[in-house]
Parts: sequence; C-alpha cells; structure tokens
Amino acid sequence: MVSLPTLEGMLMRRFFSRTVPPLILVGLGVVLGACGVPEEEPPAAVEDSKILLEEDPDAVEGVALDDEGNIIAGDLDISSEDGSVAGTAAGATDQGMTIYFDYDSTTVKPRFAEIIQRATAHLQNNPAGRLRLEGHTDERGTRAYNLALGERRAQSVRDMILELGALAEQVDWVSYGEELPAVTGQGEGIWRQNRRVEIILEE
Amino acid sequence: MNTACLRACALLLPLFAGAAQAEFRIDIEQGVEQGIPIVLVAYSESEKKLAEVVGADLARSGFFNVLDPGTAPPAAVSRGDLNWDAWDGHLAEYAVMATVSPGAGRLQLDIRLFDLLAGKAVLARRLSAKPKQLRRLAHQAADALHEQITGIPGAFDTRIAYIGQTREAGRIRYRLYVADADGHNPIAILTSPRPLLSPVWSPDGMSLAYVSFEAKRPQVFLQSLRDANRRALPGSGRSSSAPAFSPDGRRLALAMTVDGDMEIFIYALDTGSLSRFTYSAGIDTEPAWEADGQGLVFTSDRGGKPKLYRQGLRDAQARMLPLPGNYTTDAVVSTDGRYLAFVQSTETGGYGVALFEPESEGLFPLSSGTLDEAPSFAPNGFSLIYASTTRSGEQILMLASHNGRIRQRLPLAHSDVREPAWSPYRR
Repeated sequence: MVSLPTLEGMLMRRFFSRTVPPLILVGLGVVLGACGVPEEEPPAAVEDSKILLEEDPDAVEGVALDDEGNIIAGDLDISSEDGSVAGTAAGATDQGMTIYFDYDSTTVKPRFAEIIQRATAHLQNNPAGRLRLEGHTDERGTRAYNLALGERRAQSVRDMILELGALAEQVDWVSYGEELPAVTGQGEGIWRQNRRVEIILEE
Repeated sequence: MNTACLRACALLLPLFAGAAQAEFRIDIEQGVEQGIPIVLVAYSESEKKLAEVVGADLARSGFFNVLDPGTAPPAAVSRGDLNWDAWDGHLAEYAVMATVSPGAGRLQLDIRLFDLLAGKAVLARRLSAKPKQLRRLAHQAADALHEQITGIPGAFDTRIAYIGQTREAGRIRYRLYVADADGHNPIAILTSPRPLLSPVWSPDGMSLAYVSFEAKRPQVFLQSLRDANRRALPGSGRSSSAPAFSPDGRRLALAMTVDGDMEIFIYALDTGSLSRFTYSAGIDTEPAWEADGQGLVFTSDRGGKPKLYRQGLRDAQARMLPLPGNYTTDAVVSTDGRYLAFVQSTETGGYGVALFEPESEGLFPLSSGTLDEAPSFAPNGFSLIYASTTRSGEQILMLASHNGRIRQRLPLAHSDVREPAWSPYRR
C-alpha cells in the first residue's frame, strides 16, 4: 500500500482553478451538480416494465411459452421511459478522475496518487460527500472473471482512499467488468484506456 | 452396442485430430467429406425447404457428408417407395424420403430413412406440428435421423439463449434473446438499458438465470419463460454474478463478494438458503457443476493466475486441474460428464476454446481466435456454441462439432451477439 500525505481542501480548489479546460469544467459541474454519472438515469424499475408483444396473432399477454414449448410472446422491456443514454460514459467522464491499470493488474501506479489525494480531500471537506468507484477491464479474458477483476481494481482505489482518511460509508464501488468500455476497438492502445477505475463524485 | 453406435465410435476415433486444420473452415454447408454420405430426396417446394433445414442440421453435427439433393438418381422414388435399382452404386450410404402434408389443422411430416448398403428401410416416423412450424418439424426429423444413424440423439430441436447489443438513436440497448439452435426465430425476452450477461438455462428448460446491471450493480436474476416473471437472487441489494444451475435444477451456484473477495456460494432455490462454498484469498468465480452434481469446477486466481479448480461439495480443499498455461477460465461440463469445455489463452495472445477429458486428462484445442469465449455444450454433448470476435471486431457466435471437423458461424439476423447458452432438450 502506498502511503500518502493527507491533503487540505486547498488541493481541491487548486485543481479547479488550474489546467482544467472549460468543457471538462462543465462536465464536472454536471457530475457534481447532478449527483451522478453522466449516463445517470432513474434506476431501471422492474415495476415499470411492460411486456412487448410480438406481432403474432396467437400471442397472449404475459404468456411466453405455448403448450408445445414455443415462445410466442416475449421482450420484457426494462428500459426507462425517458430513455436516457445507457452504456459507457465515454467522452463525458472527467478524464482527470480516472485511474488506469496494467493488464490483469489491480495495482494503482504512483502517478495516480494525486487523483486519489484529490478524491480523498473532497470527501474530507464534505462529510456528506460520497464517491462511487466504477471498476472496468479491457475486453480480454472471460466476462465473469473480468467482473471480479474490475471489482478488485475498484477495491484497490477504495482501500487507498480509506487509508488516507475518508470514511468507509463515503465510498461505494461497483464493477462493470468489460461491459462498458470507454473506447471500443482492439489493440493495446484501446485496451489501456479501458482498464480503469472511474471516480465519480456524488453529492 | 449396435452397429450404428459402432459406426459412430469409428467416426470418433480421429477425434480432435482435425481441430487445427479446421481453423479456417467456416460456412461449411455440406458437412465433412469423411462424414457419412447421406442424401435427402426432395421434389416439391416444401420438401426442398425441409431438406435444406434437415441437411444443414446434419451437416453441422460433424458426422455427415450431406450430398446435394440433385445427386439423387432420376426415378429415385417410384410409387411412394424407394426405387432401389436406381440407387445402385450411388455415393450415398443413406437416403431420406420426406413427405409434408397438411393434416387436420396440423402440419404432418412422414420421414423414411433407407440404408442403401443394407438395402432396407431403417426408420419410418410421422411427426406433426402447428402450421407454419415446418422448421421445427425439420429439426425433429434431423434429431430422429441423427439418432438412428449414429446412435447419438440429435440436439437440433433445441434452443439457444444469447445477449445482443444495439445502438438505437444514440442509446445502447442490451437484449436477452432466445432462438432456435440454428439461429432462426430469435425472440428478445428482455430488453435493458444496462448490460446483461451470463445467461444459463434451468435444466427443465423453462427459465433462464442471467446477470443484469439494471440496479447499477451486477445481480443474478431468474426469469420464467412461461410467464415472464423474474426475481433477483439471492435477494436485492447484494451483487451477484456467474449463475450455474445444479443438474437437478434445485440449486444455483453463483459468485458474491465477501470482505472484498469474490467467493462462490450455493443458493437453494426452494428454501432460499445461501451457503458459502469457497474460502480463499483470491477471486473465485465462474462455477460449473459436474454432471453428477457432486462437485464444482470454477475459476480461481488463488495461485496468482486465473486457473480452473475442482472441488467436491464435501471437500474442504480445491484441486487445480492439470491444464497448461497461465489463463484457463470459464469451464462448462457436458451433461454426460465426459468433457469439460473452457477458455484458454493462446500462444498468439488470443483466447481459444478447448476441451478437456478428465478421465484421460486429454486436452483438445477447438479454436484459437482473438477472443473466443463462453463455450456451451449442446445437450447431447457433441456440439458446442461459443462467442467469437472477428478481426474487424464484430461479435459473432460460432458452432463447433465435438471432433473439431466443423466450425461455422451461426447465421443470425443481428450482429454484436455474445454469451451463448445452449438449452436442454425440450420436454
């Protein structure tokens, strides 16, 4: 575990006043203000789901199999009505709050220490503040295993943030495995952008 | 053992020998030259359509060399029976006659199989289905022919589940599909704005378990195909992944995180009780039940690298499977327990599907693509479906015969598909 000094809120303010292009500031404003990821949408409520019937005269609502085991109606649609964008936050994520990893590795490299200090400082300055860590992998390897790997990456970051003094209840984490790549395509140039933990500031 | 079975075993002898050479053989329509030569006699349009579906099924199994119906001799049939004289010296060893007729509100199919070498009819069967279900009848006919000739039940009248992804007006939609085993008649049974993965069939074929991110974390769901009811397992609020039904359908193995570590649990579907199965410092996931339900094979990186382990239900310790390489994951066991299919990293930096025979400790690579994964056995254990990625990055499903002779892309109406799961036999 890398040992890091505790930082004051100054670091946070310094970060906002410098280097950040206007577009990213706008993006970060959205993140901070709208309490969540850019792809934020209401949790997909199963209660709101509806069964979309195929255009089949034999179709009976709510019945998906007939007496011979043929599916005659299907598609339970749990997409929300307002239909906000699902999937990766590519292009909208604050790149400054993303930590990248080596292949099959969960080790946070020293050059990302500043990001982790910044995130910790935010939590320490905002006792009600929350962080959500989203762990991701590249597409190589099997999907279920990558879920575990993404989870471990998120936990590595979480452990460091807690070690710096944030409270456990301030940090939530989840793994998306390889399901939400930041960039689609193949080759190391693509993959290295997808092996990541995104730090998302919530209110 | 009858002669048909002996015949099948003879075909199995060069098992896997052709796997490496078969690498680039895709879109094979006629089957394999070493296969049993068979011809389907077809005259009417409905018979031709039927012969096409049956022929494609048989060709895919890797056992047959399906000859063009045009090679049937003139006057192959006379007065509703095989005209034996006309078949003298024909290349085919088997001939099939099929007659489609509309019965009382139902489609009726009569198939007859002739052993040309023995000079006798060996199978006569009448099948029926609802109108418009000619394809289903054809798959049932192929199943009957496959079993009669090879001694092994066909698995053509079965289904596959898989995940598809589309972008619609800037929004990604994930769908869980169920389709016929040959890729026809796909029906979405779930549409979600967030990722879906790891579908598996219950042993009775009446429900699917899968992982959904709809609550912004991975959760195993169980969905009935009968009435579309669905529920999160083992309960809402906790992350869970990698579901696997026990052979008796009463339990579900799944992966959950405890104290920052992913472990395998067993969930009893009737009582709702959850028991922890693995205790290791490291990732444990991708559980697969052994055929007798007495143990699990799973992926663990407790030794540093993701490798396959086996642990009996009553064992305290897991044992690493004797497989080479630094990356062996995502195992699945055939229903007869003879083979284990899994994913391994390849020398070229890609991932391929391989078969392992525990009894002989034989290892047989079936594919080596850039990203082949998610193998699933047909219920007869003699075909596999798996996910592959083409060089252009397209995600497709591939079918492979057990012997590696046939490997072909599953034709599907849509692209970007993955996570295939082959259904059990229909009841």
